[in-house]
Amino acid sequence: MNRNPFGAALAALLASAALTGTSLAEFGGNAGLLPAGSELGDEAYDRPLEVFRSEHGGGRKSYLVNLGDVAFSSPLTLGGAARQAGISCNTCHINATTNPRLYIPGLSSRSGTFDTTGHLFNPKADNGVLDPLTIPSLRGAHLLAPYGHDGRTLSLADFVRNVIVNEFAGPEPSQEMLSAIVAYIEDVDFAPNRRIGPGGKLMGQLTDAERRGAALFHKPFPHDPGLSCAGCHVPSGAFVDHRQHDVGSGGLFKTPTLLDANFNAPYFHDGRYTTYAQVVSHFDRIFYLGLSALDRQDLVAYLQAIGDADQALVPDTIEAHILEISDFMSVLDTALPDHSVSIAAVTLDTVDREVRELTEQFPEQKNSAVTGGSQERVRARGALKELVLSLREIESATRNGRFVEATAGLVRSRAILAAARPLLEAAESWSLFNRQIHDAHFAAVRRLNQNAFDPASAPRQRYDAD
Amino acid sequence: MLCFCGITATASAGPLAASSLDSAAAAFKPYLLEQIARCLSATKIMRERIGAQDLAGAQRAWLDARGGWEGSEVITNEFFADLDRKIDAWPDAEKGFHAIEARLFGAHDVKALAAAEELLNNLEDFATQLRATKLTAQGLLNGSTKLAYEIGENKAEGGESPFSGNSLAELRDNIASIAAAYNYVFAPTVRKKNAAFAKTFIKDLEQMHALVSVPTLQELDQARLRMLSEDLANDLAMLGPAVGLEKPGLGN
Repeated sequence: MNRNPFGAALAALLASAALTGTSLAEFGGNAGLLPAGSELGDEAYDRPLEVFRSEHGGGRKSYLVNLGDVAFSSPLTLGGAARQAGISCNTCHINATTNPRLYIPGLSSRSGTFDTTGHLFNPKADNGVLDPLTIPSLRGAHLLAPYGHDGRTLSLADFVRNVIVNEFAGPEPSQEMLSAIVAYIEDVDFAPNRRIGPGGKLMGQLTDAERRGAALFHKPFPHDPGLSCAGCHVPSGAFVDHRQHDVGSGGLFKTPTLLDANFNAPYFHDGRYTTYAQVVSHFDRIFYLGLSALDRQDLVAYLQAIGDADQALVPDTIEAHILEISDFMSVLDTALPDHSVSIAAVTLDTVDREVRELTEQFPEQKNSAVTGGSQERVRARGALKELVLSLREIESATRNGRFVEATAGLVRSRAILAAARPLLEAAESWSLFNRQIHDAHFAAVRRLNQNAFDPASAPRQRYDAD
Repeated sequence: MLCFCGITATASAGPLAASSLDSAAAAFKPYLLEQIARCLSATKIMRERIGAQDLAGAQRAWLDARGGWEGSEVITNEFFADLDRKIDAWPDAEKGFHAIEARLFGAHDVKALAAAEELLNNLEDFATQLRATKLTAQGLLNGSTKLAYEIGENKAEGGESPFSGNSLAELRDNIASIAAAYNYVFAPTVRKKNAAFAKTFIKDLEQMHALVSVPTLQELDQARLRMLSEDLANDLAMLGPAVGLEKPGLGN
């Protein structure tokens, strides 16, 4: 045996690793990039249905929409601390909706809220106050101008740019990238609700409560006959009036849509209410509506019918992931011939992340919460890792201006993805796509975290903890 | 991305080369036994410190034990998947390093005696099995490639050992483990076939090591680490056919 098998440089590397490996420098604490106790909603089994206007009537999403989806899903778009923490627009706005589970200590007052003027992502924007806002769903955004809870911005492009550059201290987006993000957001439609007919009229077999609630919704307020619920939440106009109002919640805020609203709690700009009943009581109190208990129940029944959807959530599936990866990769069909290095880079980075995320749906062998299917999982994970490595080759070729090689690499990557599909399907029963496995895995995570719980250093009480 | 120009899966790289590589793999075993011995020794101390209700001592020993374990990770999953599942189980509140980590570093208590004893038994089994196992070059290439890939995994939630904040140190140990496997087993053959590649490979490892030589995980450039880890995994994937081995398997 060679007693000194290492070169001097490597020997130094190994020696330094041996020393630092047992260092106490990081001793004692969660060294994560987000504050301890952060929740990003990873546990959700279902994900919001994504309906694209461009696909109505058999159409397909454009290059610009797909590029926008890529940018929306990329931490590179937000840059800085978000990039480090792997946070993208999609983290808060899952499939361009909301994220009711998101909670970041120091930036959230309750799940589903986030302080855009906090210290973590842009210290320059820190106003020194915990004043989080609810994370709005972006479904139907093309109908919902102006933008921002206070409706301060008329243009969606200006609003998106402000989020990136000022709220997250991210890099100035190119005009193409900004247009793409706007195109993507504007393409996402409300989840269909077959009970809403032309002019926003509630259709079908109405219950008595819904019928009475609809009438109350349109009835002028007793002390100000110029006002009514429907006066601001205009049924024929996506239940908005594009204006700001003071409804006794601490300032002027724009009228939020009621469409899809069943899935967008908590309510009001600061998320102070978790139920429609609380919202109705607020208006009853502030506008002296004099509602009876039955009236309030009827209004809630109407709001629930309007805010509902035929299907708002769908189970996460292998097919959905493959479709998304394929859509993202389709951006390269334009970017590579155009020699668009920056667009190819962000696309490849996003696909890489998506594939890595899909890989984690197939628990590794040392995941003791999952039994069975070990070899199937190994094969599925191996196939997806092979795809990631093929993407890295494309990225390398693109970065070095070898576009012909990159294009050939794209063909190869698509072949790897196609070959992976049956392996993923074979492992599905032992993956997190199986609800039982999903629940067992996250129950194990929770148990581990419970064992790591130290009451002495527990975060302060959350408003929604009970 | 490393340039592998000049090295191809040639006729000269056949069974003979593989056999010579297997001899080199056997010569690598003492290095690994040393890592596991270090891990075992520290785990014994940890169990003893837990028994003595000495939290700080147990924490220190846990960190020492992890150094030895992560330093041998090129073989843990590839050769000993069953024991890896017990020793390094995740997520598991009952057994393995991370169950103990959660108690010692998260809850700041020492309610982990049973888990420490079980871990010790499993590590002793591991050492016994390692002594009896014939290490192959193909297995070491598989293990190195999987580990190179794993280094690039998302650390946003604190990495592999989030409760102790030890993930960064573990990355360094992982890189050292890949470097050691490469140098013991593959470097002599690669140097003969393509000296330029050999130099570049070491340079890349050093780049990766430099990247993880930041004081905290928050300062680690995640995107760059992922890129370097995938480049390294790609190079190792190409190295296989070039030295007469199969392309490494990536699943774990």
